[in-house]
Amino acid sequence: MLSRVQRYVFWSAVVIAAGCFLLLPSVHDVEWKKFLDNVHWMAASTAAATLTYLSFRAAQSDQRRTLGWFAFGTGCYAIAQILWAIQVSANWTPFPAPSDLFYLLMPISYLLGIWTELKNKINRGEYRTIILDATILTIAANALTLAMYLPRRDLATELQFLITIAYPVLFVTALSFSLITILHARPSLDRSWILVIAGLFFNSVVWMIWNIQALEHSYTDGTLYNTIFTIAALMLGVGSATWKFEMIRSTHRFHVSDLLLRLSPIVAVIMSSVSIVACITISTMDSIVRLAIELSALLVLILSIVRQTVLVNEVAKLTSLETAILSNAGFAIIATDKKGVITAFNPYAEYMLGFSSEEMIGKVTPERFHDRNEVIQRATEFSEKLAKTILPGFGVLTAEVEAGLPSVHEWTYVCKDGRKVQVLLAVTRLTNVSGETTGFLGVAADVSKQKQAERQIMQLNADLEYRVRDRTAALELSNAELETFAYSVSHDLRSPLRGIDGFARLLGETISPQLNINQSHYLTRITAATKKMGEIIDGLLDMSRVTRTAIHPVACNLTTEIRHWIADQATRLQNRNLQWRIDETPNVFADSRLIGLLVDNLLANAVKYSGQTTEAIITFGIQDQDDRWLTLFVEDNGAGFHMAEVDRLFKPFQRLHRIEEYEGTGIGLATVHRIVQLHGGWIKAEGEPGKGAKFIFTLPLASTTR
Amino acid sequence: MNNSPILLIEDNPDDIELTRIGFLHANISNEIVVMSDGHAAIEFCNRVDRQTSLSMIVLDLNLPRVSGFDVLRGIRKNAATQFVPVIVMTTSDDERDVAASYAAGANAYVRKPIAFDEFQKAAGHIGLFWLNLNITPG
Repeated sequence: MLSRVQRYVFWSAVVIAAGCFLLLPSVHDVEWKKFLDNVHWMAASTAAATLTYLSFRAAQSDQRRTLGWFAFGTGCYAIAQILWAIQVSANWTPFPAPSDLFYLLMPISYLLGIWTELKNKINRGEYRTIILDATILTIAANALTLAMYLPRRDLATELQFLITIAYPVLFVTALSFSLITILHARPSLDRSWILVIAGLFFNSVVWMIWNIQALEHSYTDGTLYNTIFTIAALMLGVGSATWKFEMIRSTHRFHVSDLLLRLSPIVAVIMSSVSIVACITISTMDSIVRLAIELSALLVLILSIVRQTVLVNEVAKLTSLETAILSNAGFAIIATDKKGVITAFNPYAEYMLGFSSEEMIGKVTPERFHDRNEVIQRATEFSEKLAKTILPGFGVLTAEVEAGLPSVHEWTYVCKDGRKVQVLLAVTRLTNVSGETTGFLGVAADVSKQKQAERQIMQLNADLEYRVRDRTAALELSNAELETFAYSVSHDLRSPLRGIDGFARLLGETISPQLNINQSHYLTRITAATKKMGEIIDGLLDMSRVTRTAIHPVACNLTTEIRHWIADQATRLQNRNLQWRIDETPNVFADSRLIGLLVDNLLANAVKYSGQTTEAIITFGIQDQDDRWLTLFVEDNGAGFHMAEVDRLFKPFQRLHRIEEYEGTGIGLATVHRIVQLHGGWIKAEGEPGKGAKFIFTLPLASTTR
Repeated sequence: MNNSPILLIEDNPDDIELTRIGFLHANISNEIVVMSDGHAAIEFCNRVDRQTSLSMIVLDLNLPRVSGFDVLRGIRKNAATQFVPVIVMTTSDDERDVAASYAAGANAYVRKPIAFDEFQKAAGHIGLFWLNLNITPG
């Protein structure tokens, strides 16, 4: 896009040129005519130079060099025009004049600018063909130019003639190069480079005509040429200023460009032929001229041949790559023509199917080795999917790609020996330049092993499921047994115990006066033992209940539970010098009955083991917290334990202290452990003998929505 | 104080004797009728005269022949005993037992303590409440 300043410059030039064009027909004085012509030329050329220079100033680094050359070219052109105007006003018109030098610099600059662009955008492989193509076209076009100019060489001095011929030659060269480059680069169709090419084209045509007229001194009315000249200058200016050259990979334009490029040697040969014909028909031509033209034509022919050879080599390289891929691929690669007859059958396909390529190519369609029933079944499937009737046959394989859909399916191949192979087949359409279907390509991977592995996994899963069910049933049975056991413990063990205790006491009461110290001591021991056993039974019952019942989590609060527990135990603890430090905690999502049991066991534990501490402190609080889990702790400054024994702490019936020191059943912490585990959390203990113990455990946080 | 007999449904002879002694120690002097299996207990209830009636029934759950829950349902179905307070006194504190007992119509549920002194205390409380303070219709 042109900037605002550039638009002002452009429109000013257009207005000035248009003004001149309007005035010219009504002016009859030759001097005035010359003046007006010079005004619109100068307006157009200086505008072009300014536009290009402004774009060059604002350009990104990758375009800077190209635009730099363009700016240099248009700049020289503007200078030439100004010099020419000065010459005309001074009535000093020698030939060659200084302005001719500057004029000639323009096509050279454009040639270099486009060359730079070419080197930026095109890879080395293509570079060679482009140079060849451009050279061929340039020589051919120039041979034509020479054929037109050389017969007129006696009309001027040698220098004059050289300069005259330099104009069309340089412009034609720049034009040919631009054309070939653009075709090779396949850029998106953009106004800018079309304008540049058109500008170069009109310039070269006008210069050619002018110069021929100048040589023959046969000036005609130049108004049309002058107008074209100015418009061409503006085209070049706008085109260069908005220069955009983007490569695209559009398949359509790819084909068009390729087609034109393939034609370029033919065009070159035709141009050379025309030149030769011109040589022959113009009888006045001397042998040197004839020789020059014929040499050019010969060069074009040779270069065209070289170009084709280079291309054939490139194709051979691609072909050898293709052959290597086809013969070494671990896939069956099978190509067919439009009707399905096999045209390529690679070695892996031979290996996989057992058929040789001789049996296949040109003789049968892939239906030969497809499972017939599967093809029939898929025909129905695809007919439904694509909403059109597809008959069982080769058409089933290509139905999807013909409808423009991707086609990758598992198929069953039947090998020559009748063995079946599972393959994953991807089908693609082969097309010609104009996009018509020329055939199909199928790439098939043997997936039999994967299929087998899949089946094995499924079998294993089924087995596993069966075993899990088996084990679960066994576990359920043993769980039921455990339940019965717990129940019978509660009934059958407690009852006799009650009997022992009751009758021992009754015995004591009824015969107490007769008892000696030993006898009453024995009775006391019996009572104490039954009490102890009762506690053990209750502990076992608690633990079995934790294990066998399902948990019913609700939002509950440990701080509240702990405060309740302390209040309940107030009378029992009134003689203890015990300090509680209980923090507020957020709600946890847990079974409230089990949380009660957990609090009871942990606090009873802390109270018990701090019993011999003079200033006992029990602390409860938050250790850590994330968005899902709450890590809590209960800490006492009591007896503590050796960290070496920490593993035994949570196992049932394991005691770290002698029973004489601290009473207990050894089940409480095991129960706590199971409660925490049931809620998905963990528990650990830290301790030091004589310093105290700390129990750290996690429970799931109750979310605010629960 | 309600002086009608107490029906004790219990199969364990130790517990029968200890319960008797427990009530005695708590100064409960009502006649105690003992039925040691569920079937006999239901038969007995069907024979009970509405006038003589029973002051309360102490029921163990773990009984031979007919379970404690069935006995309880039998008691509640019988017009003569439908309003008699039934105190389930058993060794289990399983929540399911507690819930099932209340569902079948129990008035109270007490777990038998192992220690005899506590057992005695429990018997005393039961007698005081259900025989002295509680009022039943009819």
